[in-house]
Amino acid sequence: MSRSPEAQALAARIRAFVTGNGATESFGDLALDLHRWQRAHDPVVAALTVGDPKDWREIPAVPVSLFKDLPIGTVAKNKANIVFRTSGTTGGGRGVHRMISDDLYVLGAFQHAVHCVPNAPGEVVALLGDPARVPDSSLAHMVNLFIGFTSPPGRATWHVDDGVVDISGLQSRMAALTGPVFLAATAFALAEWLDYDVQPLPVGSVLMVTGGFKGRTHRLDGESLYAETVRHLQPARLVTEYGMTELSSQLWGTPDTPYEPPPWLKVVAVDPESGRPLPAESPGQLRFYDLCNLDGTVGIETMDAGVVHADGRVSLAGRLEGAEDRGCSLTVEEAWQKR
Amino acid sequence: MLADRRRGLAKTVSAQAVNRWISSLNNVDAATFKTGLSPEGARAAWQTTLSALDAKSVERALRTPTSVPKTACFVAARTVFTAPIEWLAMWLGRGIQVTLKHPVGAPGAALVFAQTAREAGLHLTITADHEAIHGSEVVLAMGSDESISAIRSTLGADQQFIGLGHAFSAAWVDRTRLPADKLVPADFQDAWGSIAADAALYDGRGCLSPQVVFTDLPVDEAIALLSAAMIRAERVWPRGIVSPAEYAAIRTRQSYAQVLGQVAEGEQWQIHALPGAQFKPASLPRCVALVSCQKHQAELHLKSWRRWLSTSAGLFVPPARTCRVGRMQRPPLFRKHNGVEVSTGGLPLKLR
Repeated sequence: MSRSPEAQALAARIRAFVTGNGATESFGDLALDLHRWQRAHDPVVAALTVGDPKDWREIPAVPVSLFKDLPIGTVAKNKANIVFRTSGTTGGGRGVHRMISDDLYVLGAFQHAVHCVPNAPGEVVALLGDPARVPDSSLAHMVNLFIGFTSPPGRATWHVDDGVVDISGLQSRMAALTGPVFLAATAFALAEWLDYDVQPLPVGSVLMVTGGFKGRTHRLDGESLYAETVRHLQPARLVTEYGMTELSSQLWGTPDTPYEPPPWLKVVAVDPESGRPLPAESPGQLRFYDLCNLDGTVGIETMDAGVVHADGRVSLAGRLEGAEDRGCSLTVEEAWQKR
Repeated sequence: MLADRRRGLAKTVSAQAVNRWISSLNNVDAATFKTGLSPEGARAAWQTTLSALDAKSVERALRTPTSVPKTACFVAARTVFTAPIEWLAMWLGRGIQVTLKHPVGAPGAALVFAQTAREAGLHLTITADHEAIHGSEVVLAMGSDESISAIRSTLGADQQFIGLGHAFSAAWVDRTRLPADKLVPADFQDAWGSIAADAALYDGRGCLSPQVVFTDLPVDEAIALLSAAMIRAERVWPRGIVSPAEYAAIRTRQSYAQVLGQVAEGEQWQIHALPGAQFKPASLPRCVALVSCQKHQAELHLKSWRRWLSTSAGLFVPPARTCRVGRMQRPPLFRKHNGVEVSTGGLPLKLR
């Protein structure tokens, strides 16, 4: 299944915007055109749109939970060539992101990663599931691109199976390394690995940490996880990555610096009560507007809290306050998971 | 015979102590607690709970012979601040030494419970220490299903555990004129008013709160009637504090209803009209899901959720409690709360 001529034209404009080749239009103009096309082809976005937005901030941001219950995006179930699904570990079923093609995803993800982590090794060690076995994992799909950090490309090995870190396989791989690696891990997998006797990474290695603990607990989290990581693994660079299955673009940072979005992804903090955008530096609920989400939807509203700085970078502050104070009433996610 | 008489006397004395305690609590202004509810909302929740503990009901309940452990611990959740009262009354009245474990940094009404109980001659201590559960023969906990599982896993085999996890409630409204009910506030006797009054108590966060209303009225008419009632309820019991996560969750379901149904909203409330098959329980302050369908369809929809269904007003979905609308959040002492008999404090009956 391929894109319609109209969608192909939009893809070409997005490609030009991302690469900077011949792009003269603004983020807002392209976002609004993209939204108009999506509105015409996605009944969910059409239902959520009030009037005809004149500013990209007026484009409806689809609440991320709706991806679990409604077919969001312009690609019908039987027409998707690529399907990413959320892990489902936070309950409430799995959100689905369908694509005709991953061309824009690959272009944007790789280009911004190279920008934020220049000269990274192409030898990838991933504390993630093998994308050959979990083809619907957008994270594994992205990390698999990073073998292209070097020319010729490196190779990637995968060390999580059914959510469990394969410690012996990982230790064997680490012992056999002869040069620097790009080690990609979720925060929880990394914390689990650090429970074992780990050796420092080869000189020049880069360590990427992404994601939270998704309801699970470990003695290490937040600052202590980063401190232990640096102490035991001694990476040349420790970087943080923020991405979502429902997005096509990612943000990169370090434990000490805010996350940097690519130019084709804008982040807005809104007042959780009114949904209205807040001024820079104000803490709020985060919305993302991603031009590479051609097959999905431009605007997405998360349940994450954070601050968007004047330069567009983002400091995350975890989940929105009050998620745990729900009295004795049933919440959708919990019930849906257990039904 | 003599022993039975003595036992009866001891229970009467304890019932009197409990009644003194309830009487003291009746003089407390619940608006002084940090409940997150509006002052009017906190007072209404407080009075509603205490009114079910009238002297006769307490005496009758305490006459029911049960096993009587020496110690019991109640683990209170952060919200629904009145939830401990009926359980504490049934335990304290049986002469049990009770510990109320309140959330860290959020004692709520615990200090008042302890002080007034002491004055009434009842043995109630309070703590925020998690360790409190380990020294008690009986432990009752309310909270998320995860919290309940976590507590259960730390208890010994010789401890009785009563875990009350998440639940929700549903109601049915049709054109039937409801008889007057003295328990239902005067201005909310009609069916839609009763729903709004039920949804207003605890701002709709309690498990007895109607999260969804099924009706055979056309959806537009039902929205209009419920909207008018929600406005009335908002005036009498203004909504309290809503957390950022709750606001975000409200907007999520609002979007869901915008796509699949209809939305009506006031300053502090929302109605989300949804197709029946798309309804899923969600605890959203002052938000009610509305489903227009036939009664048998409503019962069918709820069947798949019955494990979590606490109260079904006007519907028959066993084993959920049934009652008139308007009484959903005003339960009697003699009832099963999510499967556990409240009047016995959840203690095993003692056969003579």
